[in-house]
Amino acid sequence: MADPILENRLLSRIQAGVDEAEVLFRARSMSAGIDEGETAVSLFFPDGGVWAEGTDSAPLMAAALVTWVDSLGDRLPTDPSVPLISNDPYDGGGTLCDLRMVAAVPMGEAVGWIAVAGHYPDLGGSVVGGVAPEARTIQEEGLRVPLTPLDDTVAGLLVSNSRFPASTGEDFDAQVAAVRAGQAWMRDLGERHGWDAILAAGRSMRERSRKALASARQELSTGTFVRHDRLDAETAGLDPRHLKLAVTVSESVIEVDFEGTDPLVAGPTNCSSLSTVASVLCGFRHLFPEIPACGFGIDDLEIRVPHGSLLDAVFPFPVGGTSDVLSDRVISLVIEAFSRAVHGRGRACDGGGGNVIVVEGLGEDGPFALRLVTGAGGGASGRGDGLSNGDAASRHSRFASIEEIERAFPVRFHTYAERVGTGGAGRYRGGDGTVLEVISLLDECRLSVYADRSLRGAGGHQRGGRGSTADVEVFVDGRWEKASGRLQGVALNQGDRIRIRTAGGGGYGHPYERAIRLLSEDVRSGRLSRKDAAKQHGVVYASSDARDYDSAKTFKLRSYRLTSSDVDDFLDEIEALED
Amino acid sequence: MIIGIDIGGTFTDLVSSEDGEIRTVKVPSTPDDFSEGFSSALSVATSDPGAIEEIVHATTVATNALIQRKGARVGLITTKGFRDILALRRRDRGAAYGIQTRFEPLVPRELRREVSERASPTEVVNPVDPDELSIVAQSLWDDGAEAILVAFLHALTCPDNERLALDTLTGRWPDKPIFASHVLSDAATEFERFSTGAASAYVAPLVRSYLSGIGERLDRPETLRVVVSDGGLVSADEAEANPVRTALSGPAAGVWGARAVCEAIEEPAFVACDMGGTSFDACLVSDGVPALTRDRELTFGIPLAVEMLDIATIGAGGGSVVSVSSVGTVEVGPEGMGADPGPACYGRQVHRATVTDADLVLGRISSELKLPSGTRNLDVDAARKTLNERVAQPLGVSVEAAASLVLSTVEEKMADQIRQMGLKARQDVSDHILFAYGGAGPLHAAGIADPLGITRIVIPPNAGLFSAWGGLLTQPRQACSTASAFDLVTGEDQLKSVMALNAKRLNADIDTASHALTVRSRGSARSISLAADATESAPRLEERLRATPGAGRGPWIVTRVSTSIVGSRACDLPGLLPKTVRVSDPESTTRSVVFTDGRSADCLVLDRGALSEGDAGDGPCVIEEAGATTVVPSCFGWRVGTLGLLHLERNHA
Repeated sequence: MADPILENRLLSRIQAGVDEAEVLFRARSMSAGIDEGETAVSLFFPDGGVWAEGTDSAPLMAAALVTWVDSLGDRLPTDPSVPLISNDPYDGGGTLCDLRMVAAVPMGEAVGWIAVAGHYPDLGGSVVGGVAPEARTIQEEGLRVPLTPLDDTVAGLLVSNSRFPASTGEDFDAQVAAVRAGQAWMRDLGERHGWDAILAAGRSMRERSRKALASARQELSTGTFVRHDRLDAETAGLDPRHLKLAVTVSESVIEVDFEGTDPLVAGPTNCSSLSTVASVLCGFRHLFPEIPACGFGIDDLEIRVPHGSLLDAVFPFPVGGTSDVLSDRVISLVIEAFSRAVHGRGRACDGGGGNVIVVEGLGEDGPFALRLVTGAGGGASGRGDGLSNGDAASRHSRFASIEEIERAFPVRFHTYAERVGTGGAGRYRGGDGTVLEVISLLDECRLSVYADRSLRGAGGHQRGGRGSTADVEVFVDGRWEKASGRLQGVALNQGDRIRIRTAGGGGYGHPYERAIRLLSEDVRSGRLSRKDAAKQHGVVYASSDARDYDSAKTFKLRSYRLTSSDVDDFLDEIEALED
Repeated sequence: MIIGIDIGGTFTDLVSSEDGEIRTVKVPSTPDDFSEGFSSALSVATSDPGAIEEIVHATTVATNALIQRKGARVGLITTKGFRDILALRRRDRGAAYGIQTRFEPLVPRELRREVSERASPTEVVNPVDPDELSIVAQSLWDDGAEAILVAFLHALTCPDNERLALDTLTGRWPDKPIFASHVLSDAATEFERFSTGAASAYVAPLVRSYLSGIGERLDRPETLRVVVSDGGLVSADEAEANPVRTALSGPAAGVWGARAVCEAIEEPAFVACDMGGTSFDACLVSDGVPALTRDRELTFGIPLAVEMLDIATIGAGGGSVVSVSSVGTVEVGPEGMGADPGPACYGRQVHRATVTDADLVLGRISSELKLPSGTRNLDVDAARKTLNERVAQPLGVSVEAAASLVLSTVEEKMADQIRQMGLKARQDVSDHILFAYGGAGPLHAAGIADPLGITRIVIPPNAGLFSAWGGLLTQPRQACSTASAFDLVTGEDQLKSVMALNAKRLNADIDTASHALTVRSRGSARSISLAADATESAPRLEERLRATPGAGRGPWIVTRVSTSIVGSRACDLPGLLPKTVRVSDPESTTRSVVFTDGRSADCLVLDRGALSEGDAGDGPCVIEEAGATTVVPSCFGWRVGTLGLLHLERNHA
C-alpha cells in the first residue's frame, strides 16, 4: 500500500504548484480583470484528464480548459519548450477574449500538461471587450488566433490588435511566466520525488474523488427533468430564442440533452458546443462543491448538443455573448434541472449572467473605453436567502470601484443600489438585483449594452417565486426610453444616461413558510411592502411598525381558513394598504 | 516599570519589566467586564501603581465584536443614490463553487439613509445641506442608532462635504460617537472606505467603554498605550478615534517583538510565525520592514482599509478540529475547540480530534505538559481513541499514520500560505529565517520550514508567551498619508512637497522618515506600492518601476504618498527577554517520538531552562520549556545563542 503521508504531501505540492502559477499570473498582470479573478490554471494527467485546478480559478474558464485539452487530443504539445496558444472559440470554446495556453509537462516516461487561461480586456473587434451586440460575424468581435506555437510574433499580433496595447503586453508576459513557473515547479517536484510516486498519488486521489462523486450521484432521483428558458431577441421585432434542457437520470447514465433549443442567431448570443459542454460541467460542479476537479470527467455526463442550434456555433457565427450571458443561462438551467433530481443540494436559479455596459469616446488623454459588468440576484436555497448583487456562477471576480471609474473616465454615476424586492418570494427569498445609472459627462460618446433576462425571470425552486426580470432604459434627447438589451454605438452626449436594472434570483420554498422574523426584517428594511407581505406571504401587519403583526389574521390566512366573506374583507383591507 | 498586557478569551497575560527583572502573571479573563481581569492582574504584578511608567496593551475586543457580530447599531448617512454600497460589496461571491447565501452588512438597510450631496473626484458638485443632515441624523438616533457614520462618495479626494457634515453633527451631538469615512480610512475606493468606517463605528461604543473602564482603574490613565494593527502604539484617545485600527492588535505586537529580536541578532529578513490554539499567523519581514497592507477582508464582505501588518491567517492551531472529507483528504480547522472543552486529551470531550491530540499521540508533546500555570496531565488514550475514530478509521490507516497525516497537512498548508506571501511580495522566502513562537509554533517550525527550503529557525525564550512580550518590544510607529493625482515625472516638485508636508505632520525630518508611493500606470486600474527615498529623483523612480513586474509601462500617476516614522522607545532587549525557567529534573530523559515523515526515533528530551549559551546538539530531540515544546528532527541541529535564543539549523547532508 502506498505511503499515505507521502501521498498527501505530493498532492499538496501539486496543488501548491498550480496555485503558484495562478498567483503569479495575477500579480504580474496589469489588467484589473485578470488581477481580480478572470483566470484559470489547470494541470492535466498524461491521459488528458484534469488533475488539479487553481484554488481561485474562475469556474467556467477552468471547465473550458478541461474541454479544450480534451478536444485537442493528438494536437497537444509534446515539446515542453513550445507551448501552444489559442483563443479560437470554435476550436476550444469561450470568446475571443479568452486566451488559453497549454504546455507539455514531462512526467517520467509520459507527458502531462499545464494550461493557463486569462480573460483579456480587449483583443480587437468593433466594440471593446469582444461583445458587439450587432455583430453578425465573428470578425466583428476581434482577432482569432488558431492553435499556434507560442512565440513573439503571436504576442506582437495580439498587442497590436488590442485597444490597450500596454496592458495586453504585460498580461501576455504574465501568462507566459505563469506557464513557465508551472512547468518549472513540476520539473523540480519530479526530480525530487520521481514521477512514479507523484502520478500514483494523483491517480489515487482521482479514484477517491470519482468514488465520492459516484456515491453523491446516488442522491439523484431517476427520471427526466425538463427545463426551458427564453433569451432576449437579438434584434427588436424578432422572436425571443428558446433554450431547452432535458436531464435524464438513470441507474447507469446521466443524459443532458439540449434538443429543442432554437437555431443559431445572427448575433452574439451563440456559443460553440465545447462552451456548452464546459457550462454543463461547471453547473454540475456547483452542485457538488466538496468534490475536487479531478473527480469530474467529461464522460460522466452524456451531453447532446443539437447541430445547428445556438449552442453549437460554427464559423462565422459570432459568440461574444458566451461568457457574459449564454454560459450562465446554461449553468442556471443545469442547476435548475438537477435541483429537481436532488434533495438538499437544490437551489433556485440565479438572476445573472452579467449585463455589459460599454462607453467609448475620445477624452482629453485620447480614446477611452469603459466596460462594466453588473451583478444580479443569486438564487435562494434551503440554507437561506440568495446573495444580492452576486457575481455570476461562471465567474469569481470583482466589480471596479465607482470612485476609481469616475477618476479615470468622463462619466458620473447617478445610482448604484440594490434593486430591492426583486428576488423571488419564498421561504427563502432570492437575492436582489442591482440598479445602476450612469451619466455621460462628454459629448459624442458611444454606448453599447449587452443585457438579458428581460423576458423571463430566474425560476424558483420548491414552489419559490420567480425573480423580477431585468430592464434597460436610456435617457437621450431629454427623455427616458425603454431600450432593448442589445444596443451598439448609441450616441451619448453630455448629460445623457443609461440605466440598467438587473434581475433578482429565484425564491426557495413556499412564501407562506417564510419565518415572520425574516418578514418583519424585510418590511422594516423596505424590501417588502405590507401589501406584498399579506398577498405573497400571508402575514398581515397591523401598522407600519414591522413588529406589530396581526397574529389572528395571519394564522387564518396562512392556514387557508378563510370564509368567503373573510376573503372579501381581506382583499379590501389588503388593497387599502400602501405599497 | 513597563507592563505588557494581553487579554485573551480565556486568560489575561501580564508581563512586567523593572530594572531588568521580569515577572509574568496569568489570571482568568473576565468576559463580562474585561477591565476587572486587567486590574486584578495589575494588582498581582505590583503593589505600587505609581511606579508604572507605561502599560502596553494588545486587545481583541474590536476583532471579536466584528467576527461575532456583537457590535453597536450603526446609522449610515451617505450620498443620494448610493445607500447600498455596503451591501453591494464588489459584486463578488464568497467561494468559487456552491451555494452562496445572503450577506448581512454591518449597517442594516433601515439605518442606511441618504442626503443630497455630491462631489466629483476634485470638487463639490452639490453642497451638503446642514439642516437636512440634522434631520436625517435625528431620525437615526430616534430609530436606535448608537453611532453614526458619514460616508460620502469621493470624500477622500474631495472631503469638503464630509467634513462639513462631521462638523455639523459633532457640533450638535458632541458626546455621541460620530465618524466620517475619510478620517478613518485613506482608501480611495468607496466600498473599502465605507466598510472600514462602518466597522469602526460598529465597535466604537464597545471599545470606548472598554478603554474608559480600564482608564478608571488606573492611577494614571495616560500611561496606557494600545497596540494598533500596523504595530504602532497609540493613546487610548487615539484608539477610540478609530477603533478598527486595533483589529490586529495582538498579532501585530508579536511581529514587532520578533522584529526587535531579529534586529538585535542582525537578521533583517525573516518570517514571523505565530501558532497558537486557534490560528496560525504569518508575516513576511524583509529588510527589517514588515509587509504592510491596506487591503484585507476580515470576513466575506468586510474589508478593512487601514494600514496594517500584512499578516496571513489560517484557522489552524493546536485546538483546531481535524476531520476526513468525503474524498479521503484530511481537513484541518477552521472550527476549533478552544481551551474549553479543548482537545480530546483534555478529557472534557470525546467527539472531536484536534491537532494537539495528533502531537500527543506521536509523542511530540509530553503527557505531562508544562504550562506557565503549572503541569497539565493529558490523556493519551482519549487522544488515541478520538483520533482513531475520526481520522484513522475513515482512512483505514494506523493511529500514528493518521496523526502524522494531520500534522503534515497542517504544516504544508502553512508553508503554502508563506510561499504565496513571498510570491506576492516578490521575495524568495528560502533565504529568510523562520521566527517561530506561540504555544504550537516551535512544535511545527521545522515541518513548515522544510517545504519552503528555509534552513534556519529561531525560537525565542518563553516562546509560548512571546506575543505578550511583543508589546514590550514594540516601537511606536506613526504614519500618515495624502491622496493625490499627479504625474510622477512632471509632478516631481509636488511629490517632494507632499513628502515634506507628511513629514511635518509627523514632526519628523523628511530624509529620515520612510515614504511609500502608490502609483498606477495611466490607463490601468491597478495600483502598486513603491518604497521611495525623499532624495530619489523621478527618473530614478521611473527606472525602478520599469523593472517591477506588474507595474505597467507608464507614464505613472501618483495616487497616494504615505509617510511613516518608527520611533525608538528605550527598551533594553536582553533585559526584556525572559529567562527560561527549568521545568524538569536535571537528568535528561528520552521518549519515543514519531516525526511527520512517519519515522520514529527515541529522542532525548532536553530541558530548555537547563541549557545555556553555547550548548549545541543534533536532532532528533525534543526541547521543552513551560508553554512550548520544540521538536528538532534528525535533519536539523540546534544550539543556544545570545539572548537565550534557540537556533535550529538544517544539516547539509
